[in-house]
Amino acid sequence: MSHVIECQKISKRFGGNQVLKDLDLTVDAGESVAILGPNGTGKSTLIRILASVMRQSEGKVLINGSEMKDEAFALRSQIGLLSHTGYLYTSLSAEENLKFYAEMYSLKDPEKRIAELLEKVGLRTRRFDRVATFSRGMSQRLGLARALLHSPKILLLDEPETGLDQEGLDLLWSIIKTDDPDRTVVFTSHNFKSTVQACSRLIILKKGKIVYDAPKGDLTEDGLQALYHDVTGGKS
Amino acid sequence: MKTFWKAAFAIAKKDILLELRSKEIISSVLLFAVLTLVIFHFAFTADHETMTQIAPGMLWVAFSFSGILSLNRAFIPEKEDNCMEGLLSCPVGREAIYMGKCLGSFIFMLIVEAVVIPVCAMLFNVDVFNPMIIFITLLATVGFVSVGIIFSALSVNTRAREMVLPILFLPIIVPIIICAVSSSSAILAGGTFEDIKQYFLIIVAFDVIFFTVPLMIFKYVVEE
Repeated sequence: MSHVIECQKISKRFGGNQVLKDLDLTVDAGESVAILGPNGTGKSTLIRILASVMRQSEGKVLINGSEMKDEAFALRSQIGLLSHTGYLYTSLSAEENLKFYAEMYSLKDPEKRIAELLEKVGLRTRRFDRVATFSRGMSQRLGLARALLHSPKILLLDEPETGLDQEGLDLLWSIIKTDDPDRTVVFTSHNFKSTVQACSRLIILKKGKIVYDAPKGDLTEDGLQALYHDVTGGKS
Repeated sequence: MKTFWKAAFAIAKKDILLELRSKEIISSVLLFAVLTLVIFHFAFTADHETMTQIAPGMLWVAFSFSGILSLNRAFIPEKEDNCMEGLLSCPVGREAIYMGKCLGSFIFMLIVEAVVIPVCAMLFNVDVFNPMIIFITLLATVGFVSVGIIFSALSVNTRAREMVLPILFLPIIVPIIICAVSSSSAILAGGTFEDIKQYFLIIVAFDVIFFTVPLMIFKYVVEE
């Protein structure tokens, strides 16, 4: 059986700067994979390549056995992407943003799904308000609603906790878990506490290469911190 | 194909909605275009025949510079709100994003033209409402926008984008402006379609080439 995500020897260069080097990675259905690593080590680049918003310089990315470059349209509809910004237009209201993305995803019954998600992220009463008036936490929850709009089988999160307090972070993860517990989630983070709570498998990147890849097991926050410093040879 | 057009119209509709909220582009662009014509009106005191010859040129100066102002803002919502990646992650071709942006800018240009043409007719007393002139203007606007959007996407991430866009864009767009001005002058001077056929064909060829090529290369512009 093929993996949900499979990266075969992917590399990415920006000019003379090689960010990812011959990276091999497989992710199976239902896994929640945390990618940690120092700044500039290629975490966000990897997420962008998996989401097909950026092309790798070399190598292959397969989603459910299909190669991304051949079937990008169909595969993108299986992927939800959220970064530290929610990809939301601040001059539009919460509902207008979701309606716009619903059209982009050709949703069959957008009104129902939008109402359901706004309820889930606790923004139903603010649906007509412009995103510019939202707090950081509210924007990020709406960004999550946008990423979940088309019920993706794979959710890619690039440092989604940036600017969120612990309460906001807990809420974000509880929404992700309750929306679809079987969803495959790949996320990057600098937050050891939320990483330990949310992941089932841990990957540490260093200088564009995977230097640690193992199930989380019974690793605690302190244990993860010690492991991270040991593997990367520095502080996060 | 249905998904392509649905996405393109959704992007154009979203851009228009954003503009209705902010009124950043349309108010400044309209003011700039009308002011340009007003300045020309006071600068030139010529007889009707001379005005007939120079009015299309003045009209296209107003269209071009106000159009550049508008094109400079085409990707600003995506830049300021960091939404380009959100668009790129949607299951639509990059071509649909290009088409949506072209449609939005084309509509803005049409609004500008709908205001500027009557102002030009009023100030210079020339019959620029001639259907052939309107048709040539529309055709030239297609080329203007299709080239402009690709350069707008290229320049949006540069620091001096207000300068980069006109420097890259104007040399490419000059042929279409010359053809639009020359054909409009010929029509105002009583010329027939035969008299402007060569200009018309150049504009059509330009539209076809400069719509097709950006459509094919847009993905490389936005993905890297």
